[in-house]
Amino acid sequence: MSEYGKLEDAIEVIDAKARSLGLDFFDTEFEIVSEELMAQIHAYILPVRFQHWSFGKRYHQVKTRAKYGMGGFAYETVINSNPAYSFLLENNTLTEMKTVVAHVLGHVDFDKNNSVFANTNRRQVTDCAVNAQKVSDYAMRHGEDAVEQWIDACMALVPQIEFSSRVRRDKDAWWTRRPESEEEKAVSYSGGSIGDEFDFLFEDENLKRLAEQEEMAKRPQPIMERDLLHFLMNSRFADLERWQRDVMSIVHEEWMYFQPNIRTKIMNEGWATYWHIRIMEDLAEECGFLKEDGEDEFLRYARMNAWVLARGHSGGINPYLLGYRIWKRIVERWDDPSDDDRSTLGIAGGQGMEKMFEVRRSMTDAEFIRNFLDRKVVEDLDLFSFQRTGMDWTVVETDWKKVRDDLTDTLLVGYTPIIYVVDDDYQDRRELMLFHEFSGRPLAEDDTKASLSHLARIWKRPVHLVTVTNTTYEVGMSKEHKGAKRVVHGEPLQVTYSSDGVNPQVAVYMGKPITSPSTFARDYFESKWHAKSVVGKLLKRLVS
Amino acid sequence: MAHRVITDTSVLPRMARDVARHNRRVREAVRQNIAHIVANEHIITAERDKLVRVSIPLLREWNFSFDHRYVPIVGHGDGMEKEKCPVCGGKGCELCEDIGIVSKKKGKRIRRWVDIVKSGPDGLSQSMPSGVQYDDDSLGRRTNGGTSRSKPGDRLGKDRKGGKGSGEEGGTDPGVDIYEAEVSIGDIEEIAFEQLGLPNLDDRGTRKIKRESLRFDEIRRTGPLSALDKRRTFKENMARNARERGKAYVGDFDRSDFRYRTWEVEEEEEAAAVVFALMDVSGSMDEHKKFLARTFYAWLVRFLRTQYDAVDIVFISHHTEARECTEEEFFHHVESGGTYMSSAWSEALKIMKSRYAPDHWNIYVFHFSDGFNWSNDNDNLVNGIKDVMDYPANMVGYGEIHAVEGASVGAKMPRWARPTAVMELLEKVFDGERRFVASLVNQETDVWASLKAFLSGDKTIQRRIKLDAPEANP
Repeated sequence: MSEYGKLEDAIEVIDAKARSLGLDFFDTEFEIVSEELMAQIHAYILPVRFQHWSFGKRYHQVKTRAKYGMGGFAYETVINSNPAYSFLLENNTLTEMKTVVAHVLGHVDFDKNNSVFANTNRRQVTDCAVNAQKVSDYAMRHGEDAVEQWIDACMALVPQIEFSSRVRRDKDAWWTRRPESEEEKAVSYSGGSIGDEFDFLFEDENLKRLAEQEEMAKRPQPIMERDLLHFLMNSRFADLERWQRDVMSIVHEEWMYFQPNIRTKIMNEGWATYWHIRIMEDLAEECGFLKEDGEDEFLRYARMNAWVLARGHSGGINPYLLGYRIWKRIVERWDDPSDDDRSTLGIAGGQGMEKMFEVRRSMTDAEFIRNFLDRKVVEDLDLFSFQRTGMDWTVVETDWKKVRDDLTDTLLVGYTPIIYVVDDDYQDRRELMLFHEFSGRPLAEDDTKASLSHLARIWKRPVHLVTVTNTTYEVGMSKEHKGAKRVVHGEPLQVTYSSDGVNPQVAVYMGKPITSPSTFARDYFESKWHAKSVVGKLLKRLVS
Repeated sequence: MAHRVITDTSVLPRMARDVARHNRRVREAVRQNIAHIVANEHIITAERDKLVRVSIPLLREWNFSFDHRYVPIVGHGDGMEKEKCPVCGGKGCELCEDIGIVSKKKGKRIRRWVDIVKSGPDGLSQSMPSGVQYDDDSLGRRTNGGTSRSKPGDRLGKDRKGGKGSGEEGGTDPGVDIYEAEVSIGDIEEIAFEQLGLPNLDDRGTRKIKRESLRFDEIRRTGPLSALDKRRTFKENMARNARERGKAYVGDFDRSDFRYRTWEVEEEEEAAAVVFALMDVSGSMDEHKKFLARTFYAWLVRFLRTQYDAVDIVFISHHTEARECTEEEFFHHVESGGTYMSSAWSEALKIMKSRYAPDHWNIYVFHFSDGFNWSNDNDNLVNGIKDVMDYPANMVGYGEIHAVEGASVGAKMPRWARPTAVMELLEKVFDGERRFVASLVNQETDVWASLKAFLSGDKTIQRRIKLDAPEANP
């Protein structure tokens, strides 16, 4: 029987076993590809993407890492779609292939059932191919350089993509909301006759409030949009050509598609690892699944697992290992709870599987770590937080709660600062005013300047970003000291970055900084309105 | 069937174009950072086809991001659980070499620890397939192995930021992706030399050099059989048959029909140039200053060798006395003592007079010193330079080095780093002289500035002298 015939048979066995264990997945196409092609798919993430130099860079990195044996070791790639696609490395042995198939089915189960994946586009692979065609058409028509620079600029704003649609609904102001359900309608129109309904309008107090509201409505309102690309695509002032808007929406759409994967990396890899180990070992016991032509392949399988679950180099966690251990720990705790767990969490015992599937359906990494990373796992894996102190990188925290909170924090905020668009008409000059919500982590200066310049090139007018920093700055002293400078350490300062697309600038302000976006927006519009009304009054006086 | 296995995949290899675009960007970045790269020690000493890693800020993809120094990162230590190989118990066998418990070379424990399939006290033994005998004592049991859990204050690594001559972002911070591209030295040279050329190159001197042309453009009646031109031979044969026998046909060959292709040794003319490299090796030239001077000359030599076929280089090192030395000595010898800068110029003049007649040779003289000359020598120095210029030399260059090691890029020039007496003197004397070029080296990146100042060649003349030198920018 041919090698692939054997593989097909093995897939059927694994499929049946996985279903019997409760996994639920889409049909999957397993494509056998060469190492070279694997490196390409690795760089593009999906088989076909639009052309951009950064994929060339990533490809170069994949190849370099493989060359130096630094874990350029992709056994498989899974694509979230229906049917799911998976790529297997052609020179893997049959045992490795089998393990990978079990692993892949774990991923597909996760992608199908986890709630954050629920709204993903399951046809994104084909959409991406269409996008690639569109982008190359644009490159033909408008020049490769123009399109490439445009993509560069758009990609700079990609981390600010707002994944959760809930936030968007919340930001809608209360006065624009209409009662939605029949119940709500019933409440708002209930009570009294029609006369009664309008009577209240004529009470003095209400008339006053109404006048206030009318004035408020005249004032410009804060935009408070966190998704910069979404804002740019829909802005009243953004001056985009059609192809530019289209490319922007392509970038937005494709990175939106990757968001669930980014948000569930630890869970997803841990889940797949847990199930491939479970499936392979159950099958090995039941039907000698790890035997090839009479030879025991267990060691080959063990070696592969050892690679997958190796401790990472210091400088990051191995999501496979961490995820796997936490899933295992969940089963352990809910199957056979300690007295403490029994009393505080009210676990009866024997619910391990049930709990696992519940968590798999409803959580993302941040919640997963927050809820289930416990003392035992932290200590077993020797997890710690580290940071730069002076010129050294040192371990700063090993207490399990602190480590857990640091990790949760990183996963929640990620590496992406939250930036609000406050106003698109700063000083009535169509300039953009942004505000970064400061939570103890200052922005990197170089990165901020460069990204802001990218944004300014899209906006085609100067842009400003208000944030807080506590890095060291040289601050000019007053005139009596003849422009001498002094160094200010560590205290939080208000900083404004500005860029017109060419020359980014930073200005530092003394005094107590504002960290809350709502306070900033209120103050900003108050002063803007004030300036406007003063000018208005002056004008009126001049005319009269 | 629910699942499918596909071997004939339709995934198109589209990477080539993106890789090409990426490479173009790398070249562009090298061009922009050439001043930093040129001053890099590793590159000067490396072989031409070697790949070097240069860190390139331009190739970063920018995002709004946090200053990573303030963000705690969570990582793994290697404490607590250390598994042993299920086969040999960590003594060293094929499997544990493969999975990295034991390093292949010395059987020593290395840092990659593994988590064998099952861990915990009764790990492997439970679901162990038959056929493999495992040492019961070491079945995935936790062994402290002398190392305990990581504790606050453990050092993981050092931040290399601000390292010497490594360009903008030289650090290898854990957890932070700093992009370093691999570029071959040849590529760097090519990019660097695009912008350089010998200036004021006159058509004054020519000398003949022999060059073998490889084009077979001559036809002869004698020659080796391997160079037989069959087509012409047949033609000759037919012509002779028609002439002698009244019918044009191929056959009845005669020795006189044979024609052979051959080549001619061409003589070509080329402008000749000689470069005098003068270097101060006195006691006041500390290691770093010498390094900068040698860096300059290393690139100068490399440039001349790759771009011009017919350039002589004369190396002269001096303290109170000057002497001509070999290239090897010039770059590696260490001397000390006081300084008479004029000695180098008179030595150069002596050599010129004996070997390089001004009507045949373009003459260039470069001198690097730290400017600490004995004051009673300054008049001699001015006269020495004047003599050389009147000889006449096409150009003379004087470079003065004021650097202290580790002076950061863009630091303000301190008072003592301003032009000293020698520099001021020379600039005053030769003010307005087109053939005198002075350059001040305060930091490593100034080496490139000096190269550009001295070698701002006139391209039209340069092209003539280049002849078959490889085209710099295709």
